Amino acid sequence: MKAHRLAILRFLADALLLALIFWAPPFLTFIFGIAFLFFFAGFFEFLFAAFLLDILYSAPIPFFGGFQFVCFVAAIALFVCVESAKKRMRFY
Amino acid sequence: MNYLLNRNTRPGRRFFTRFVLFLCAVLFFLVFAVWYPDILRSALGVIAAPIWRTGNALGGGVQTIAAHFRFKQALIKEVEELREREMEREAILSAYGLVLDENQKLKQNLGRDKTEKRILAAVLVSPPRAPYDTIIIDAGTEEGISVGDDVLFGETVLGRVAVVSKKTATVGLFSTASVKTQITIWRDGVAVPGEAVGEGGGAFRVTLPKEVGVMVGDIVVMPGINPKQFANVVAVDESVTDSFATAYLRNPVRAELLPFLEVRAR
Repeated sequence: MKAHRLAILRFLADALLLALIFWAPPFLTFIFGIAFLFFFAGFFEFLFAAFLLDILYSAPIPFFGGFQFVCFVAAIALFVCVESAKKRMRFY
Repeated sequence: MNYLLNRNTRPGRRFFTRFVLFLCAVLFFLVFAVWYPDILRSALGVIAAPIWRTGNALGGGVQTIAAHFRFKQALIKEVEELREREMEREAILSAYGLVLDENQKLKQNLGRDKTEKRILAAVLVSPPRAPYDTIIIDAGTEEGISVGDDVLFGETVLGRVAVVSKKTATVGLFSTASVKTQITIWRDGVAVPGEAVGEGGGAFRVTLPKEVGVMVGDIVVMPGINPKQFANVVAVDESVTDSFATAYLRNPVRAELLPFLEVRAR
């Protein structure tokens, strides 16, 4: 029953993340993504969301040296940091 | 004292397998996106454009509802201010039409009567909603837009098309941080060339010799036979000991508030 409820919550979180990608500033996607990374186990959808952000909005701008997958790389770094932090926290 | 158990620091095998599998899938898409960016962008653009349009329509609806709850006094004051501003603009515009007509006739007489092909496009996403400081418009290769086309609002140039797909295009703004653009500053009838460096949010910085005497209010244009307004000088920073002056420019058009843009096809 608990697993079922968690699956519904995860589906709602995915839907929210998808809505944020299209309709909200990117920092909100990242804030909610990090929160979901802490709440759910192995929240890979966050990486997918960052990848989608890059595909939809990126342009080769000189500030990033023309690299167009900045959000995705940042999301991987955040994912690794949060998952390793979770392993070291008593709460989990 | 109690300590966190060591075994808790070991990542599970299942998690690692899932992570590696996911990374492989994303890497596949990444390689796909780098080699064939148009295919992925075009496919996503077709899906995303109606979603953005729906979001904009919903946002507009919410703003209309919110407008009903505004204070009457504030609205009256705003209307008065807007009326005054409109009168000023009307006076300027009446003279502008004459000047524009004269300019076109002069170019015609000198054999440089080159008419521009412009494509109107609706803004789907603009900063701060779009990361990378870009604007997404609802016109793409189907409408004749190509990479490098200038993007304007009236006679003010804002950026260039950076990425184009079938139904949408991504516009890179000149004001994006670190973007360098060749500009001309009109100073006492003399065109002073310079290089504007984007600072984000419609702001630019340009360094010039102090002897140029650049002043607040000077007009900055994009060089060419049909010069377009680029920005205005809003501040100048110079010291007695320095031989250079830094001029701070601002684009008069706020890109984040625009509903439509024009693309000048090359």
